Amino acid sequence: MQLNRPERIRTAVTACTAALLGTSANASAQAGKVDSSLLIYSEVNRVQAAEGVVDFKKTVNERRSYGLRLVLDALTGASPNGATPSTHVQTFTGASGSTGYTAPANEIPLDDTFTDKRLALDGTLVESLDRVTVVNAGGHFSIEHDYSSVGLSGGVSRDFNRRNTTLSLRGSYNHDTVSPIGGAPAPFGTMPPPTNNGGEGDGEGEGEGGGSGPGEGKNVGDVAVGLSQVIDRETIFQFDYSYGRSSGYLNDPYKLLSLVQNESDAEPGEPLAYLYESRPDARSRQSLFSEVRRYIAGGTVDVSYRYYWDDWGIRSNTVDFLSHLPIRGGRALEPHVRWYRQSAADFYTRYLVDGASIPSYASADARLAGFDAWTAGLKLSFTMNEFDVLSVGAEYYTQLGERGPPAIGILQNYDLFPKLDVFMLRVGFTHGF
Amino acid sequence: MGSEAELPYTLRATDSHWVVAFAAMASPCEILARCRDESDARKVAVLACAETARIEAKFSRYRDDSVVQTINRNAGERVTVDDETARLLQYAGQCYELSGGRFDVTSGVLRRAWVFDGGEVSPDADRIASLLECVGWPKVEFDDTGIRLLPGMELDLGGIGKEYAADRVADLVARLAPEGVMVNLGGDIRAIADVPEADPWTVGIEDPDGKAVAIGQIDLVNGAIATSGDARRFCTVDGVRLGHILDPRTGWPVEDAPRSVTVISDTCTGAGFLATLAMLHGPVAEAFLDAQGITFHCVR
Repeated sequence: MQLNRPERIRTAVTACTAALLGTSANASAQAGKVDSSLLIYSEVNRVQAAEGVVDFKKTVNERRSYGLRLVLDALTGASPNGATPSTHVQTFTGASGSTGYTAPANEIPLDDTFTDKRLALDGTLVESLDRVTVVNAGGHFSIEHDYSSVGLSGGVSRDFNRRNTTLSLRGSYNHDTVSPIGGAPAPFGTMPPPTNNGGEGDGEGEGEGGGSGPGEGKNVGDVAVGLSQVIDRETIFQFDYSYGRSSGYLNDPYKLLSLVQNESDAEPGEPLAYLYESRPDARSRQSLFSEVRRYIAGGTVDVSYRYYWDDWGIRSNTVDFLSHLPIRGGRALEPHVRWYRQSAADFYTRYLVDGASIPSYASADARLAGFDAWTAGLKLSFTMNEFDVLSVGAEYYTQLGERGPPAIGILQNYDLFPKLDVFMLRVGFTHGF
Repeated sequence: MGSEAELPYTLRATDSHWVVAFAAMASPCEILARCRDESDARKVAVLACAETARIEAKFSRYRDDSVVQTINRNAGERVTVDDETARLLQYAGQCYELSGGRFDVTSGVLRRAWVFDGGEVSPDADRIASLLECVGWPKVEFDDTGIRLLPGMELDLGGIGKEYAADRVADLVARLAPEGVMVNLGGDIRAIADVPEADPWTVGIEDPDGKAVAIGQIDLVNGAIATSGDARRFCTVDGVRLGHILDPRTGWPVEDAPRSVTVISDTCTGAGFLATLAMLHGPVAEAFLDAQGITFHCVR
């Protein structure tokens, strides 16, 4: 009886069955899904926004899938322009160059000309090279009236150690263009006086820098390495390190700094002028992230910690807790709590003082200040049938600025970094097909 | 998915998993699944029943409207086939090549010359010879999108279908039972667990005489078990007992074949093929399986 090369039969059988079962595995399995959601974002007395997301994922076969994501944002409302309060009414040039806005006396000046719509489109392709290696590539495009961004991303991940360990490498590159109305202001340039001649007429003469100039460019590159390790049947540990670098025009063209009178001037703390901010033209960011996810009694508990630092001097710590708790009838609760603390950028200052030497860089953008923030939320999801999941979630975010050094003159009378409260409501619907 | 009538199933819970039971492919079928909740367990039951019924309806040679019967009815003419059928036929062709002609999905017609009811038979050599004219995968024209049998030929995917269904069903429901699922379609078993170090299922291997005496025990997490052989189906020729496995090269039952062969492998489809191929090796079935370096149980 011939028993020649028997080992080859078994190996060949494995290959043949893989070919038979591998590609057919999705013949009637869920081949795709659509996630859609609507977010209502509401800062108390500030910015109001709505965001719609449609995320489409399709599995072509066992080895390949792709995704398309469309995001539409609309926002309006007031945001602090960086200037300090005054005992007088303050008048600023609006984002439109000609229509100004005013800040009432004794209040933090808010730019309420702020309104924008944004459209973003992302596409990704994920391909398994073999049972343990997955590569992905993607493209990104977004546009709003004064900002656009295009980018590419890619990554590879590989399983080791009986699939208990996954190593991944990711990278992305984005090129952004900022085209503020009226052109990008020069760093420390003085805000031009508003051409408000009684509010009538169109104020044709916009002076220098009229129209949206050619735009300023910004390049953002990021790389990250990740390790995911299965600890035991119920526990997964994730660790990431990422490095990113931005260069080019990194200012916010609408943010101002008040140049205030010094102690020996007539009205210490009152503004003399408003200067545009000046930030370095490069920024290197790094972060370490670790996460433990554990399955407990049918649910999951997810705790993560992130440490971030950059060469602008910002250090931040984030602790995040998320739990998924199934309850009867295909419903689940997801409580979420996050604590965040960041230190201020080296060049963050609430204002500049007349007569003192002007630093190379300065910004009063609240996002570069030191602050603490808490987020708390709860999401409820309903599995309606094999294919459809509906979810409703609400979150509350509160930001508390740290008290800076004693302020000058009249500014001692104000809370220069007031509380920010945000309410978010998100309704989501997932449909598998 | 087609419009097959839904299979009735039962669902019950144990301390550690859900048990779905139904009947299909002329066999009792059972699925053990460690699901998150009852809702997922019901999804497992519905998906499994639908997929098993779909495969049975599509590939059974007992159903007039099946793809297999359509091909058989149109023997002599080319029949266009869908992707899934093409893959199964391609696999059948590979099995023929790998087995040196011992495993042949066109060999079913040979059963007409034999009665395996335990009694004494006197084989009709002429009839066997004429039936052999209609046996042989190489006589089939198959080109990935269509197949043409010679007039008189018949296709029988019975040696692949149930194992294939076990693999497909397990694959389909695995995401609903990441802690582990085991699909058992009449003894053809496939288990999948997405969680590493999931608790194994303990599977007893029964005596082929059907006395429910366990002759072996296997722990299964990710893998498959398939058995070839049916101790009740045999005949005797001049007092010599012959099992029901027919060698398509001779038209005769394989002599000195084990009463049953059980193979443990990564997929049920693969395990089923190796078990049948071992049977076809007759007296050297164990040697064949030993050389494959796989776990198996042979009963003689």
